[in-house]
Amino acid sequence: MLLYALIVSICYSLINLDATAIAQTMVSRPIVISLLIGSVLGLLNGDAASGAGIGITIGVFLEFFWINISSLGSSVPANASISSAVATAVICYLSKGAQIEPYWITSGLVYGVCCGYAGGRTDTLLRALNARLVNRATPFVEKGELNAINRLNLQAIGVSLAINTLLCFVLIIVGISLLPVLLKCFPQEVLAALKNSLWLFLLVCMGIALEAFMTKKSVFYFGAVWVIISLIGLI
Amino acid sequence: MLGQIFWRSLFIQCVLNFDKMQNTGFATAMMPVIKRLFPQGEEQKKALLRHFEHFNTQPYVASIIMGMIAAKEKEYASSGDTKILDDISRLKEQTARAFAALGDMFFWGTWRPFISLLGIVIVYSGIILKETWLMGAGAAVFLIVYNLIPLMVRWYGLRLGYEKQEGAIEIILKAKPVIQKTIWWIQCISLTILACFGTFISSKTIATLGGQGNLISSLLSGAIVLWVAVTLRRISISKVVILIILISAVQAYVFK
Repeated sequence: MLLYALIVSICYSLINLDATAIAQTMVSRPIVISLLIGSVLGLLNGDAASGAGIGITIGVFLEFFWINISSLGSSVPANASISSAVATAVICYLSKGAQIEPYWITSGLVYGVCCGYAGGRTDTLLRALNARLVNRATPFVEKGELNAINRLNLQAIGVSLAINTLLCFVLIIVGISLLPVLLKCFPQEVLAALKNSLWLFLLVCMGIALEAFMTKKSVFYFGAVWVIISLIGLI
Repeated sequence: MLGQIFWRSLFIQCVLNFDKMQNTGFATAMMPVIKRLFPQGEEQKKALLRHFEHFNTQPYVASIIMGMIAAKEKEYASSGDTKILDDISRLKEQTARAFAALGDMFFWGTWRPFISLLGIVIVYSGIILKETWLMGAGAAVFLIVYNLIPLMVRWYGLRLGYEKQEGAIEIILKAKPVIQKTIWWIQCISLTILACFGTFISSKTIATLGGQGNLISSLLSGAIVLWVAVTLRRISISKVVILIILISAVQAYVFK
């Protein structure tokens, strides 16, 4: 379990560098990172396709959920990458060799969302640490040392890798330990509710996506298209 | 030199911090300019300190500003006119804010959600049709199609800023109505895709979970989607999710 969590954490922290530090090519978005981590976990379990399938399923839900998340100005949003990495890792671990129940997916997704908010707090901490690194490097910059800038970049990358690896590791261990215990304690009604919540979670995600594209009159347009397509589907 | 600036511009948010935001990233990108124009001494130190000041903008459009500033530094190095230094700090401050608004509105507010939606539709189609290649294709389409525009903006924006300097601002101002019209069209297409996809996928999911995917459940799904979208303007996503789970629990107990 520890090795499993460590491998996922290292993969996550490397991919997460894309989110802020390097290039912003969106490799760290849920739809991609979940597929990559699911494939790695599938390889560890001896079935890459199954892992990739679980990963992409989780990734699609969380990509929908976090579709509108972005860092504007100095605001620090929740971390969509860690939510996907942790949710994928936990569900892949729990479903090893077994049929995946919908309530596992829902509980994994909800846990992932909570981890996303925890990741956002860590990103705030990282920015504060980066400010300290910049202050420590300022005397060298004032002397005109060009290498001070390169050192600063490397230090920031190192700090980001270390903190993100640790956070992801802890969240995966907590998830793998806690979720099966919680799910065993819940009565059947709660498990049925979690199963039904998957459909409602999907609708919430669509609501979030609608809010991202919404303008004044678009609500009526969206509603009209939905009704027309529903009627066409009925026919 | 422009090639070196381009590669270094990818690290603009490497040391993102609350005090000076992207100052280190900007200085990183300007280092080839500083090394070439001010090989050593007091001028190099001053140039480095100039670009270690507060800077914050959308990471893709930052390349346009880098091109403008690189051209200004070249002008200062050849003429020695200190008024150019005031131009540099003024340009950085004013363009950073203006371009950030445009960049955030287009890339974070429209382009990325739209391409995410396309990727989601392709992947979900793969899940429904049980075609693994389609699932992978969704993620690949998301990555490739999304990055076409940011890479073009980073490279051609850098060249535009370097060649035109302040003229680049006029070009972007002229392009603003086109960008706004593009945003409007992308929003319309996204809403249509979301409505069509949403109708189909909600009834499929209900059927998979053992429910009845009929007209009433489809209309109910649409109403819930609209309610969530309108409610999100007043309360946070986490509270909506908790509310949904509570509603499901109550429904499960009531309709045992």
